Amino acid sequence: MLTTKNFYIGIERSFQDAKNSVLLNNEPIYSSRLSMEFTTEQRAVLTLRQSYNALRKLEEKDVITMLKHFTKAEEVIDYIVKLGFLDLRKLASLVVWLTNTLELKVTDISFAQDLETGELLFVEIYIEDCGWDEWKLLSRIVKKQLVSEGFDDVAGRVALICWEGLKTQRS
Amino acid sequence: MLGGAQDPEKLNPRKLLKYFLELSKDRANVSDEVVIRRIISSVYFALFNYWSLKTYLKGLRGNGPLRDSFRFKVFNEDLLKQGLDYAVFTIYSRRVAVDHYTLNPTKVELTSQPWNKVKIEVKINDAVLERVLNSAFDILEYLEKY
Repeated sequence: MLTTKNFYIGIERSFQDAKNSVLLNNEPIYSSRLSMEFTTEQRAVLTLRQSYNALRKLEEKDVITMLKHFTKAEEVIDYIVKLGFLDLRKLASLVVWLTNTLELKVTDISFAQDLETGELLFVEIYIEDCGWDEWKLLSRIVKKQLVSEGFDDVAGRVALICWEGLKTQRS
Repeated sequence: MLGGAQDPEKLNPRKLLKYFLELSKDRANVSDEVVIRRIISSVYFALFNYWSLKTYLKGLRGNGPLRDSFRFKVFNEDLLKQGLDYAVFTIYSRRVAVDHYTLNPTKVELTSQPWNKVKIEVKINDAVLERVLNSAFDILEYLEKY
């Protein structure tokens, strides 16, 4: 597992890379089967807003297909769409940003409901290889970025979840 | 008038959390599962009550005859916007486990839909209690400035 220090350095570097327009390679940042390709310039300065603007050019069905790629239960995305809980392109831009700019591995997208009322509470994005201390850091950094780029609605309706961070020891 | 004269600090759970923290240092208490379950459940609702009163006093209104009943969704949204994801999810998922599930360890689904595949394994023990209390103090720090 990453240490907190390395994790922090990695995130800082990712931000710096984006800021300085440093390119790691010239390949599209996304799989062509998801019907979506960014130019190298877009990769260089990929902010949440830029990611969102690129996704706005896609049809909704393509965005849905992309999101389903990240979930273990495709019906989850259909349910979020049905309820109109979130702007799908904003959700997708967050996932793209997490995976490409921060280079995190998103393993699942799900949601939590209020078990008493059935009300959808928040969408969950599960991230691999991220422990308790990294989770605390990641939550704050990502939400600060979301709010600063005008994605307040996503910040309040999405919970980032570090699977490793949920584990506890002792008995 | 119903909220203007109220002091939001009367629902500040800091004393309660400190009391729970002291309790949790005694091995005899944290080996009692009933004690752990009831602490975790009350931590969530103590924070929720404090947030609700502060929200009401800000002029926002909820449901009920006096419009002082707020939804968990709004509470969670507020905390998630602050980047308290780890704290919200830790406390909420454990609260569901201790109030809705009986086995220990158990597997929790945070949804009533049977097709959702995410199952979280939850142990109800001293380590979980420690995480919940740490998370609660982080949430409280934000709520006291709210």
